[in-house]
Amino acid sequence: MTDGWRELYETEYPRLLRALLAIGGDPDAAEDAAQEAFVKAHRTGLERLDRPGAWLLVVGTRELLRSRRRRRIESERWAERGMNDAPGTDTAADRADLIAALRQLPERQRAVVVARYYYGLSYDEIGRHFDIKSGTVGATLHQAIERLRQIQIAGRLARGAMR
Amino acid sequence: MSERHDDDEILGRALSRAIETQDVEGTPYERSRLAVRPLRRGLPVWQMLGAAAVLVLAVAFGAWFTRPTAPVVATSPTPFVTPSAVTTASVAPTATASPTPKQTAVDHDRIYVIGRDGVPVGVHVDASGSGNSAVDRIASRLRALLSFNGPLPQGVDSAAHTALQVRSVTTAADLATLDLVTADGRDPVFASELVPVMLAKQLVYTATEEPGIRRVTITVNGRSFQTQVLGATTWPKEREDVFGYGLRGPVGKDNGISFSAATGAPANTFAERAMTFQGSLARFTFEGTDANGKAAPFAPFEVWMLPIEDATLGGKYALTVNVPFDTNYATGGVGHVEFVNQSPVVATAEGARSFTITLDDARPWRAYMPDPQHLVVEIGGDPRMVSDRVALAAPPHDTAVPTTFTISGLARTFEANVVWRVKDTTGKVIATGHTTASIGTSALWGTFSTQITVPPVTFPGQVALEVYEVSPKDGSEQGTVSVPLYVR
Repeated sequence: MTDGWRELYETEYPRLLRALLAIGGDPDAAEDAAQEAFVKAHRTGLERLDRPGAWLLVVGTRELLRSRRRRRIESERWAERGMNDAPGTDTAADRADLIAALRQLPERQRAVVVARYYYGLSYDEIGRHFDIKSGTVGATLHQAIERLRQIQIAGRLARGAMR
Repeated sequence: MSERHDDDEILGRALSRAIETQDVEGTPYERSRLAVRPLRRGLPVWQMLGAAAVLVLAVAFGAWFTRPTAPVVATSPTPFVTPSAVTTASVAPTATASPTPKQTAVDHDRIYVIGRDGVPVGVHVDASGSGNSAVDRIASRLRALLSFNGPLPQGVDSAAHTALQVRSVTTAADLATLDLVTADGRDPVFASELVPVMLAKQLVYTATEEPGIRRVTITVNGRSFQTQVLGATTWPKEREDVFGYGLRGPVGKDNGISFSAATGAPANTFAERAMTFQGSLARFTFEGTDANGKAAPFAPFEVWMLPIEDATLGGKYALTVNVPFDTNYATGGVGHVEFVNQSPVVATAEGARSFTITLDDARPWRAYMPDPQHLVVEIGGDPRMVSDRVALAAPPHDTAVPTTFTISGLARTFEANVVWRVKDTTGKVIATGHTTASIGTSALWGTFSTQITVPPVTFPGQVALEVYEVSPKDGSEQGTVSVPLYVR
């Protein structure tokens, strides 16, 4: 089980796991989807993956969003996590806010935002992999970011008001 | 516009940092599914099956018989080139049918690993079943299992990479109690919920490898071993509680089948012509024979499965085919015995008018006749594709298909009516239809094969193919088999 798979796993797995955690919010589901994505990649064959990182993200996202049951657990876990988060430094709180805000976007938008800003995929690649008309990727992203911003601001205000 | 773009980039980068600084507990490569699943390697299965189907159709059925026991098969393949041949072809053996060296006894030096479809598979580990008492032998097999570190045959996986150790084994009648511990006293943490399920399967099967033991109770660090999937029911469990099939094969002669379709002078006996394996499926082909050993229509026959404990033949269950209505009726006792030791088959015994197959467990089985001279018995198969009414052979679970593809398999439904539909990820039905199996409302199963077309599916391209029976009583769906597929 060598021939490049270990290398691919070690470079891509941590990033994929974080991306899927950000999209889904449930560590177990993220782990499961990440593992499945690698298994599927393996079945497909390394030589047939054009950009393995992007491929793994697309397939991992698909795995993640597949099960409704997971989605239910995910929201419960997320609620749990939100409560347990001790208010730390502002930076950490900001980060938590951002991720929480991300989670309020529709799932497809979440995946697109993560693909663009965390994975650095081009509009073109996003359009192709997520099957969005190429001209509308920019608009979709802007819309998503704008909502993120609003949610984040609202969160900050709420936190400020509670202090 | 560009200002807006810059603002977006800033927030995007902040988000990227937020994602990057999330705390994650990852799985190291060694414990990843990638590393513990050598089976996923190689060609996509759908390609292999497609190639196999084409090949088999092209060269008739010579290749299908991996172990012809009589020349008649090689010289007269024609009986199988019938419409149902398409079905048979699509379930042709894959790389999992491996030649087994000649065995001389039931192999009890065995532990169990997990096939790609979740069904336990026995593998030989030298001296793993040694010991002077049942307890010693069970403990020995468990130690071999828990320390097992491959190499694994292609197509199987093991979950036994845990810190579990055997503290004690006790037995009482057919029950074995396994007391397992971890070195640090803390319960094992599993990377995925699949792992403890696999482990439970492996432990139950391996412990019950001991003759006479049929049920198992497992404790870990003094507490009942729980898994999310299997934990809902209580211990003890037998193999059929964990084997992955939603149903147990018909067990007992009352639940077996008898069939008499032959008209005219039936053959007075039959012979085994082929035994093939495909993953968790074993397929036996029998041919009716006349007094000269030539192919002839089958006499009325029975097939049934019973639990057994047999020192010679081993196994936990025996499936028997016989021709009971012959005037010279005799089960023939145990004639020619062959030790197979390839899951799910332990051994076969050919009598004068009977054929017995001893098995690891009571997995579902079905019998069909591609033509009046031949009877095929299929035992097991991918549990996700098998119900009490439908056994889908193609397309395989979780594979990529074009928008037009063939579905085929076996069905035992009212008036042979087989209904299918395709759903997208939102659950919306995007294509539906029905087809007719070769035989319906019968003890035997019918074969079906039909080409279906689904509309192009956008991201993520995933659909669920469902095949089922509509109940003649109330129109409800029965025996649904649901297979995820990717439409390309």
